[in-house]
This record gives sequence, structure tokens and C-alpha cells, in this order.
Amino acid sequence: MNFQPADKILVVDDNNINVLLTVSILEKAGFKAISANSGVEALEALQTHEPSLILLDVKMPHMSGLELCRLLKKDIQWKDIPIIFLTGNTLAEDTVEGLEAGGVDYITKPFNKNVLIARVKNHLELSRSRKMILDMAKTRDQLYSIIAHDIRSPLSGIQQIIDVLNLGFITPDSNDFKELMMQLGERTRATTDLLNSMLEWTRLKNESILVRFRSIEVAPMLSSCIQILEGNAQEKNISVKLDIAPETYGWFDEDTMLAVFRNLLSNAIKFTPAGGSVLVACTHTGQSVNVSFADTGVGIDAKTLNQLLNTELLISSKGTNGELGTGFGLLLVKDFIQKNNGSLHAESTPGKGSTFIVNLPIAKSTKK
Amino acid sequence: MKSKILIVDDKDEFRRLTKTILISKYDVESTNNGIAALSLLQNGYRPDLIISDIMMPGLGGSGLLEQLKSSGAFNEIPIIMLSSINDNKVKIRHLEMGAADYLEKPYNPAKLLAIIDNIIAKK
Repeated sequence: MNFQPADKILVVDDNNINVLLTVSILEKAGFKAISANSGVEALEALQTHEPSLILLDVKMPHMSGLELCRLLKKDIQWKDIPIIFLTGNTLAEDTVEGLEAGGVDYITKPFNKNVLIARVKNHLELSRSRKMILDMAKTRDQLYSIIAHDIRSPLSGIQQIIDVLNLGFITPDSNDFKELMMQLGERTRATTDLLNSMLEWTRLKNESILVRFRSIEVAPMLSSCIQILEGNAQEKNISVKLDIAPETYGWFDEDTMLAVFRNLLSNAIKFTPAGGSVLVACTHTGQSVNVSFADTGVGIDAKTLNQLLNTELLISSKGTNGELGTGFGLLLVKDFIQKNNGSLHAESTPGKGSTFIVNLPIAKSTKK
Repeated sequence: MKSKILIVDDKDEFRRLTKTILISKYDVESTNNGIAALSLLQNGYRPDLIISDIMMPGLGGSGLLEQLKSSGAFNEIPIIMLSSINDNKVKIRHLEMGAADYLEKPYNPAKLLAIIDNIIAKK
């Protein structure tokens, strides 16, 4: 079966013996288990842990299991964690009350350990499928909105140019005609780019479920990104420098992170005026590898930067050479960094430049 | 004297195309977003008609329409919306907000000319 051994289960029960017993059953089955003796302790545990499932005793002093369940189901952060009630009560109306409070299942004590494990596994599987479906629906909505606006709009521009030419408002020997042809070319190219990155995004989004974490050296990846984008930099006479702590290894998936680095470097070049520079640096602390992309570009004001980092919508901007942005790049970057258990930070001063910093888990092979 | 028309659109090709279509009959200005349009008006430019796109960075066409219709000085200037959004709800909302008309992109140039002629003749 495809339950993941790393799944963490939170056991909440005021009876210590029950807690110890349940935790040991779960651990023998390969789960990680954490425990709490009351509703308040459970809430405290949730501040630092993200359990995949909660086993919750119904009868507890102060805050009952039902109350805790209702509370969690109201919170956006916790509402999707499946809750299975454990109870000594076998009355039908109590079962109904528990399920109505938002519990996914109801197990009566004393329980058979095989039944407990089987139900836990089933509900983990269900909750994972549910999450996947929600993610897919979100992707689909984003695609619809892109098709509705970002592709229809350039296409209508192209159509309009053709119509105006056909209706004879412009003659082929005029200057307007030449200009329009150039714009037609630019629009067509930009639409093709958008389609390509949209396809790449959906492809990588689906495939990236298979991220393979390994110990990867950062330096060769960054060098290869620079090589790929050398042409773009030269075209604008931008110098790209590399400053990397030797033998730095991160614990991540190579393919998705390569896409992240490539996108961030490409953005840095895109938003830096001719003659500027981009510094790609890599340092490490005890826990994390930090890769930064610092440019001497146009910069981003605080409000837009906050939007860029926190939205899941597309925000597109034009580069300093009029390069058309699709907004896909950063969406992809954020998605992938999250899948690699990393984080993205940025600092920027309008007119001076921006720095984007990626933090990733460090791998043991890193030279101290 | 030719009537004055202001085109507000962030897409270069649409500004150029619409200008090309109107230039023989009208005195045409163009700008690329709502804020730039408002600042033109505040600096004394008085068009007889405005043609505005909807989705633009900064202040979009809906915002521009709202600002102009609620202002005492500019609420008489007719505004034609020109957008690739073909949603009826969006169209009706803009007409209710006071747009003189709503044309979908790509638009028929002859139809745009006829609508403009009607609006300007009525004034």
C-alpha cells in the first residue's frame, strides 16, 4: 500500500495508559506518533507539528473531543486534518454527533489494533486523494483564467491587425504597416512563449509529484544555469558573477530546483538594464543552503513584492528590453521551492535592484 | 474643427490600430492606462469621447469609468469600452456604470466608426 511511513499521528486522550497503548500500536505499524493529554495540549502540539491525522478521545475534562474537533474544523490551517474519534461510548446518537462535528470516523474502545491501523491508513489515503483533487481543481481554475485572459487578449490583437489590413485601412507600403507587422510578430511570439510555459508548468506540476530527494552539489547546477542564459545576458551586456562556498550540497530534487534557479536567474537578467550585473551566490549555515540572485535592476516596490511572494495568481511584468513576462516563472518557482521543503525570500529597492534568496535543506556531504 | 478622441489601452498595437482607423476623421490622442488618462484630463485636455480598454496595469478601464462618472467635471464625456472580455455580465456592469457602449475585441472598425459618429452627432 502507498501509505507513507513518515505520516505523523496526533493521539489526544486524558487517560495516559490509553495514550501509551495507542502510540505504541501506531509506532509498531511504522507511523510517527505524538501525544497530548488534553484539548489545550493538543492545540499546543499543533503549533509546532503538522499531523496527517488525529486520534481524538471524546470524553475529556475541560475541553471535550467534540469541542476540540469543532474548533479545528473552523480553522483554515487545520480543517483538512482528518479526525478519528476514540470512545467507550457505543450509543448511535453519540456517533452521529461526533461525525457531525467533523470527525471522519468513530472507533469504540476497546479496539482491535488491526482495525485501528486499517482505518487510519484508509483515512490517510482518502485525505491525500482529497488534497490532490483540490490541488488539481486549483490548477484547472488557474489554467482557465489564463486561457480566458492571457491568451484571448493577444489573439484578439492579432486578429484585429489582420482585420484592419484586410479592410484596407492600411496599405502594405505604409510605415504603419511595417510597424504593425513587427508588433504582430512580437505578439505571436509572446503568445507562443506563454503557451509553451503553460504547457511546461502543467507538465512539471504533474510530474513533480515524483520529486526525488538526493544530496546534490549546488555549484554545477548554478554554472549550468548561467551557461543556458549566457546569451540573454550578453545581449544586454550584463555581467553574471558566481560566488559559491565550495562543496555545498543541498537535499532536494535536481530537476525542479534547476527550473527554480533558471527562472530566478532569467528574471534577474530580464529586469536589469543593459550594462548592469547579476551576482549568483551560495552560502550555507548549519541547517540550510542559501542561494541568492542579486541584480542591479529596476527593483520592485514593497507592495508589489509582497504580492509577488504571497499570491497564487499570475502577475506579469515587462522586462527592461520589453521582454514580455508571463507571470508563470515565479508561480513555478514558489511551487517547486515548497515541494523541496525550502523557502523563498526577497529584498528590493526600486531603482537599485532586487535580491531573491532560496533556502533549502542542507545535505550532510557539505564541507563544514 | 475635428472632434477629439482619447484612446486608453496598454497594448501598443491596439492604440496604433484604433488611431489609424480614426485619424482621418478625428483628432486622436492615446495613452496606456487609467492614471495617465486622468492626468491628461487634469492638465486641461478635453476629449469629446474616450475609448478605453478594461484590463490595464495601474488603473484599469472600470476604475477610470467609475472615476470619471463620479466626477463633476468629466461625467459628461462619453466612454466606449473596448475589451477582449466577452462576458455578458461584465458588459452589462460597465453599461450600467455609465459606459456609452461596449465593443468586444477584435472589433469591427466600421462598427466602431459608426458608433462614434452617432455619439458625437448627439452631443
